[in-house]
Amino acid sequence: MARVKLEHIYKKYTADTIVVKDFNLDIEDKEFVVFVGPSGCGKTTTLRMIAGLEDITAGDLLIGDRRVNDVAPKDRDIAMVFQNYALYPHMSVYQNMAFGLKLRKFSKSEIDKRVRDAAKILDIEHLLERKPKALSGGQRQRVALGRAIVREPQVFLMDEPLSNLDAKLRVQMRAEIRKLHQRIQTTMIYVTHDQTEAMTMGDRIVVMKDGIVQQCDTPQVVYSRPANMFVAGFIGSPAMNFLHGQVVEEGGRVYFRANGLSVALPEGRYPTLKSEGAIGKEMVLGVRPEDVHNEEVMLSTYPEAVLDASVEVTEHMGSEVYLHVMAGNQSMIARVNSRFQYRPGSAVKLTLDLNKIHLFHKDTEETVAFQQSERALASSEV
Amino acid sequence: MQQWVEQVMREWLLAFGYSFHFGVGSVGPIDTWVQLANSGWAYQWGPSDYVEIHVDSLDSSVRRAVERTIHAVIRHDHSQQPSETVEAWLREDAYRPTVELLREWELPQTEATFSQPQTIELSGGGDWQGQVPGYFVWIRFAASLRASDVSETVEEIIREFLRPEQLEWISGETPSILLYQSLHSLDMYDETFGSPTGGEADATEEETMSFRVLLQALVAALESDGSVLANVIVSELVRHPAWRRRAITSLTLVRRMAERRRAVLTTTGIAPFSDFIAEFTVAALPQAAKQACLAAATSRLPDAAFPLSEDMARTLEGMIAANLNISEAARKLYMHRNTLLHRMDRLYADTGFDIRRFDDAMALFVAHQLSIREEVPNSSQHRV
Repeated sequence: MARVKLEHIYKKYTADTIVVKDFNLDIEDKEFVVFVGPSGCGKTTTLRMIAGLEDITAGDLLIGDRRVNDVAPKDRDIAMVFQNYALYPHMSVYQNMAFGLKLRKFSKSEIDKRVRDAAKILDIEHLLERKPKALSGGQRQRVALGRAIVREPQVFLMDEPLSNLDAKLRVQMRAEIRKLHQRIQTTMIYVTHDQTEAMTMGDRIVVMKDGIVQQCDTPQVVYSRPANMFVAGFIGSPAMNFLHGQVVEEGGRVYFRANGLSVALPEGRYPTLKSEGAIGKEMVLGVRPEDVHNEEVMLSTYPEAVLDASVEVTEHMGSEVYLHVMAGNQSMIARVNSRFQYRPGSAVKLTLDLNKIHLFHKDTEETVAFQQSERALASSEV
Repeated sequence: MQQWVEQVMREWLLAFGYSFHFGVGSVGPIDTWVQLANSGWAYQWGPSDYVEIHVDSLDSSVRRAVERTIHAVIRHDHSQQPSETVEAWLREDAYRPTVELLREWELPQTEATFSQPQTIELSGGGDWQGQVPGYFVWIRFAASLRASDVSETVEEIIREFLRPEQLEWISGETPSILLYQSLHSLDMYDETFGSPTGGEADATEEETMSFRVLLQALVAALESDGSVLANVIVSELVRHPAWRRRAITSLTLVRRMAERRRAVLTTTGIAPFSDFIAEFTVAALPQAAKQACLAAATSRLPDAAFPLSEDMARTLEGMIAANLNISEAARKLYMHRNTLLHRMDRLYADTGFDIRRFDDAMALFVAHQLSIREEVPNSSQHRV
């Protein structure tokens, strides 16, 4: 068990190809941290640098109190779990779990003890004599976890371990891995491109793009206060709606205006909008689909944010419906209750929950950072 | 030295149907081409070394290739003699352009079958023999691997996954292993490699594992148990003993294609020949056809600029990967649908191709592939 510290870590392949830039992170002992981002964002490369499979171009990596930049991978006391299980097809489950220890010259009795202990934790004792091809996907992933557990490492590194499983099993294994973490109390670093996995599993999540950490915080904060448009669009499903327009001041009030749309912004947000120079500028308004409403009560609560839209597509999800609409010339998704029935082409009145909207600078894509007090004020005004 | 250059030049000049004379003597200043009276051309690269080629007109691409070959050979490790070993073939890509490698593609069309297997001679000395059909597999390790540290473990892991008839360590910039895997030796009687998305669904009991999934598991095991990072290049399927050399050549071609594609979309570390059909087709076009296609593509808009920038290339490849389904492409590219629509509009404005349409998407893909190839002259260096 150990703390992992990354200080100003860089990975360059050539002078022009920098895949990880100035990565800083302090992972507490026993913490579960998730790296999330699109393909090519540098999350797997960072994980591999921690594992020692990739050289670190610059910066310091500490596991425990030891700087391990130049320590060979096999001496770092870490274990990795992959999407592809890494199971040996001709070996039994027992032999698969034992193989890593055999390569490291552990005694037979020690290997046997560790394999049986891990099998008990994972509830796969009855599968020890089976070959991988006689296992289901979930069972295979348990064996893969078992191969890592028997090593009794200081740190677990997991690279998209659930990507091979079907959706239902993935949900089940998410919970299993969380339980496993609570049970063995070891530092875990988990890489995924799936924002749902990141949100549901991590104590903290690190959102990456183009080798740069965009935001690192608890799932709740990343969702409710995204640092920029990328984080806002990446976290959440369906993705946040972005409306491109201009912030204008008229008759003492401040509006967000886009082609065919006009939304009066809450007075409580004026100070920040003014101090950040947003008035008169091209901005992007972000609103999550669940914060776009069609109910009468919300239409009357936020009358100055009402939009006339036409329904293009409806997606029935059971308890709710995703309405793909056009408002002005901008497309949006609204998540509404399934009791409402709409057909493509029908008109719908929608309003935005002004307490939940986000504003982003169009040029930098950075969020306009409203203070908590302003959010509260905005909430009380409407 | 001269003898070695002569051997290499003989091999490929003859392969392309040029007659030549290799001589010693002075025909002009160093590093220059001289037109000779006997309808030949001579290229001299040292005070007294020249190669004389007999052709009606000397194509500039041949001229460039001769120069590149000679200089690459001179720079090459002098102590190594060219030989018929697979290692030497793998090294050829250091000095042979793709288009020239592809000219050797004509081979016997007869195929061996599982019911009538034929043997393939694997190395020059005939020490190794394997059965066709099978694959050559080139496992390349990270540059930082010190082979002596882990070679034993690495081989043990590989032999747990595969049953190679031949396994050789290849020296070079990065350590690598070349092996030949007959399909007869594996516990699967299926010639398919498996689709790129293969293995994503939940595995059912007693399924037949595709070769791709097996290799993916091997790469993961090398990382977790061997503590080494590896990528795997797989040749075309060797169906006939005479295809041996072509299959090994295909490894070097796949490597180039994979490296090029990785700049746009990341891969799983497994690069099989069968994933690069479109790129190979484009590479195999005659030079004149390549130029005509590129000219046709750029004629949509006078200012059309190729190759596409990385963002635009990602947009195009994402749309193709999603079968032109915009929502699916947006998901694959991790971008908002509106952002994708905006990018497609920009692509249309910059190139004249609307990639929502299948014809336009494919034409732009081909044009982009052509324009990123070094072999095509006249493609603008300006990027969208």
